[in-house]
Amino acid sequence: MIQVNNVVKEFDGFRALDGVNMHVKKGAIYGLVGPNGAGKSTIIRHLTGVYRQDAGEVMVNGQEVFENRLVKEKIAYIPDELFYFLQADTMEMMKYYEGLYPTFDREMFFILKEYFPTIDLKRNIRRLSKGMQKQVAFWLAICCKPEVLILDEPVDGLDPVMRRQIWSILMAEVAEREMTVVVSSHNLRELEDVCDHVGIMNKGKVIIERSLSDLQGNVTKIQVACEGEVPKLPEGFKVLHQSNIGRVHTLIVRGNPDEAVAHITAGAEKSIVDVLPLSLEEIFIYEMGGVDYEVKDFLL
Amino acid sequence: MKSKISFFNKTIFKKNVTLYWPIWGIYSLIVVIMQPGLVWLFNNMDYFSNGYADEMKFRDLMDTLRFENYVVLIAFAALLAGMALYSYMYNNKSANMIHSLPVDRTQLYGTTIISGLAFLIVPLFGAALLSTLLCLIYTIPGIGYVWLWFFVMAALAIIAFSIVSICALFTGHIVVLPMYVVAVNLLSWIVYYLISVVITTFGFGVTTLGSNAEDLAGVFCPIQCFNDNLSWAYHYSDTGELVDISLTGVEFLLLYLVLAVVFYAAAYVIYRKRKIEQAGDFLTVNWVKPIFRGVVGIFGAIFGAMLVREVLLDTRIGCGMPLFVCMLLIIGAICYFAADMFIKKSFHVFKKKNWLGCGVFSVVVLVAFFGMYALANKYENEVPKLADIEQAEIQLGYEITLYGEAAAPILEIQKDILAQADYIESRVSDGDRYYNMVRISYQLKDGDTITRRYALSQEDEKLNAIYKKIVLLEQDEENYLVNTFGKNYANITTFYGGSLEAYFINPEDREKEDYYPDKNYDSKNIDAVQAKEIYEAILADIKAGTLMKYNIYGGKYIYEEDVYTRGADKYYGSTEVHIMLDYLLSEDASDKKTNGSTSDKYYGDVVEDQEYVDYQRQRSVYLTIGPDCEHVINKLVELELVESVGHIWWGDAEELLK
Repeated sequence: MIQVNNVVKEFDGFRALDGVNMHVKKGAIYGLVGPNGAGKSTIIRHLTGVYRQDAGEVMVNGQEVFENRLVKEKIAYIPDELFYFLQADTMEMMKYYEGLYPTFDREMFFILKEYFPTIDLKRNIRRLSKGMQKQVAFWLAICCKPEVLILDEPVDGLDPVMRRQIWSILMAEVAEREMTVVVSSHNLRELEDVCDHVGIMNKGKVIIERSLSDLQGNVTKIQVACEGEVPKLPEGFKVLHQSNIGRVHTLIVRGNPDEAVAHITAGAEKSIVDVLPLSLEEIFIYEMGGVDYEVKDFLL
Repeated sequence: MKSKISFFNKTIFKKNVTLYWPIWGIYSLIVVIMQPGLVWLFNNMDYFSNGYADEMKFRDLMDTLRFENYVVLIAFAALLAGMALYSYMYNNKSANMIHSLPVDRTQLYGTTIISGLAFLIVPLFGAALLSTLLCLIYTIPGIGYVWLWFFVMAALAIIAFSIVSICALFTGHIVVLPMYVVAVNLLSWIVYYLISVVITTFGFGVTTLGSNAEDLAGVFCPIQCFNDNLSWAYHYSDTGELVDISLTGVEFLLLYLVLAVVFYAAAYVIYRKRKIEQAGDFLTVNWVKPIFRGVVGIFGAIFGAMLVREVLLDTRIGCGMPLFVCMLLIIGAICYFAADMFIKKSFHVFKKKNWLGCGVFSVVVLVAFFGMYALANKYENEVPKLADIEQAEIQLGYEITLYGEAAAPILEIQKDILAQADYIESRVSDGDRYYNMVRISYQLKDGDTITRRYALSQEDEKLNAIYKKIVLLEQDEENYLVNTFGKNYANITTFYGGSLEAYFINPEDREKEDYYPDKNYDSKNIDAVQAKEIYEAILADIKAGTLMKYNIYGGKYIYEEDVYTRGADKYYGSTEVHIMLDYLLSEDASDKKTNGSTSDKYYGDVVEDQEYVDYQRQRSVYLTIGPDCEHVINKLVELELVESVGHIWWGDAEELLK
């Protein structure tokens, strides 16, 4: 559905995107994570046709997005910083979106009204709270019935109930219409619940891109209680982090966990080996540590 | 599949209309008040309750259609429209939002242009429509002119919005947009003054770049160009009846319409290439940035250095060329970096790469300055060919105008002055504050004018030869007569009268503060018949060459007798006698005073206001006479205005003349 190939973007000599490659399948919920300044918002603005890349290509359904009206009709975008016209109320914005998106569903707009009971349709949106403005953005975006929904820090400012409600609406859209969602967020706990694919960005590149289950299965925390040193793992494994408190050693290992456990058990006498699952947040932290992203031990 | 090319989006247009309606409303109201509102008012004023002739109605209608009333309004409205309609590009949030929507830049740009033009033109159309209705209701002739006005105004709106559009695409900051629009409007004059300030400072005697250069600057200043050239020209028959009204300045309108098309196309190309992330930047077109830095730097360097030079000269510190060049480079560098700070919105511009750029810029500044300096030398030595001269003027005591080949003496005087240019300049720069300004100007056959102004020291024998040539021209009988009585002096038949005045100043009283006591002044009235006879006597004295020396400044350069102290410096003499005559120029006089614009004349002719016509031809002459003016003195005696030749000075002055 979405293909980003070797995209490069510079701002006044600073390379914000340095050959980004990204692939999102139809109907996927793709979480884009990365540290501040990694280039997440920049690649999102390429996906929505706002920015023109210096090199590479950004395709949706096999077509370039930039300046392609027909492709953009299939994309809805909720940016991190929302914009509404001066004096505009929700009804006026609805009419505006209705005029621009041929697939806009007015009926659905009024059906969804019950999900957003606090929104006064005739009230100036700029006078609504940040969270309510976000609700309006979701409301309008969903009614556009897009094939691709792109969200940049989407639930920032929403209360927990509204977050859950919005995610459930989105999940239903994904399930019903195979809508593709690309979501950039720092709330990895939340992404873990909704995403099926994850891309980790750092320094203008997507360094890891795979399904969440693959990612979680491939990086594990192994705790070893043994006398002496933990045996060195063979080639094919990468120890992202290692620490010890007394005889208890903790290893974050990329590679098959079963093989790693077997190797450690065989190499260390009187050892107790335990494999613990890693959260997306932990995976992110360790992966980032592996690419010189400074991670302090106290985070562990 | 690529989307079809479309230049319009209904939803965005609707948004533009509904979002900015207050601006539309105020502008529409102003236009309606200024045009149909005034037409309605004129036709309902009590003032006209006694009858309002069709011709007067028409005249008032045409008054509301004067283009100069609307040029600034349209320009300002176009700027406001531009600031509103292009504002979505000047904020990251709005720029990102709008450009992520399913609408391409072609549609956005096209819709913005259509919105802007609708904003400006629809109210004009409404005004024209209302005026048409009023013309029908009040039977005012001239509906055709209302619609011609509308089309011209629509063209002005197209032009004004094109300038705003090109400026809007060059910046990413809403506050900078009006600055750019003003700069574009004034660019030609800024360039003109930049060159002018160098050339008039360093070119000896050069005061202007000539009328052609000024005209050119005026043409490329859109507001001035339309204000000056776009108007209704009234054509009258020999009997003074209005026969036709035509539109003037159409060629400028067409020129600017072509430019407007270029501006719209260029703005579109720039928009297509624009980076949305540049929202908030002062300048968004990368290739313009070095040009902007250079141009701001050059302007700042030259204007700044000239200003400091003036201060140094005023404070007598002096400013030679080496010091001036140093100032040019230092101020230029400051302006260069200031321009860079403006572009980058940062004070951190003193980087190695920028210093290199500044070095290149310094070379450009020097080339630009010395280029203008060379031009100043060219201007300084510019003496037109005699065959190219339509008319030439020289002024020391009074203005003398010579035509065609007869202008040779003025050319010769200018060449003499230029031959001593270094010496003349050195006298003034050495601090000689007693000098006379001699103005020489040429009207050339190609329409250009050349004007020079030379400061000649008053007491300098080396310059006497030049002074003598000028005073000889002033002494010329014909020149003097034309200057005194006008070109048609021979055809003067109507005199109103005049007065004879005498002052006596006791030499001992000269040093006193008040040496014009009333008792030493007397006057007598001259009636119309006497005035005509005295006029004839004056002509005779002028022909005899006995009157000019009392009235011409600089007589000392040609007369052995020192009449200088009795002429221009007359109050240092002892007795002065003056004659004042009031008369009317002949009807065919071409040098009658011009007063007011074409429409003023139209008023005058319609109401056949004789006072108005007389005012155009009324003149007074005030002359000093002296003992050598035999014809005049004899005439005064003959008319019994004075007792005898020996008693021409009367009252307290009588004793002195014995």
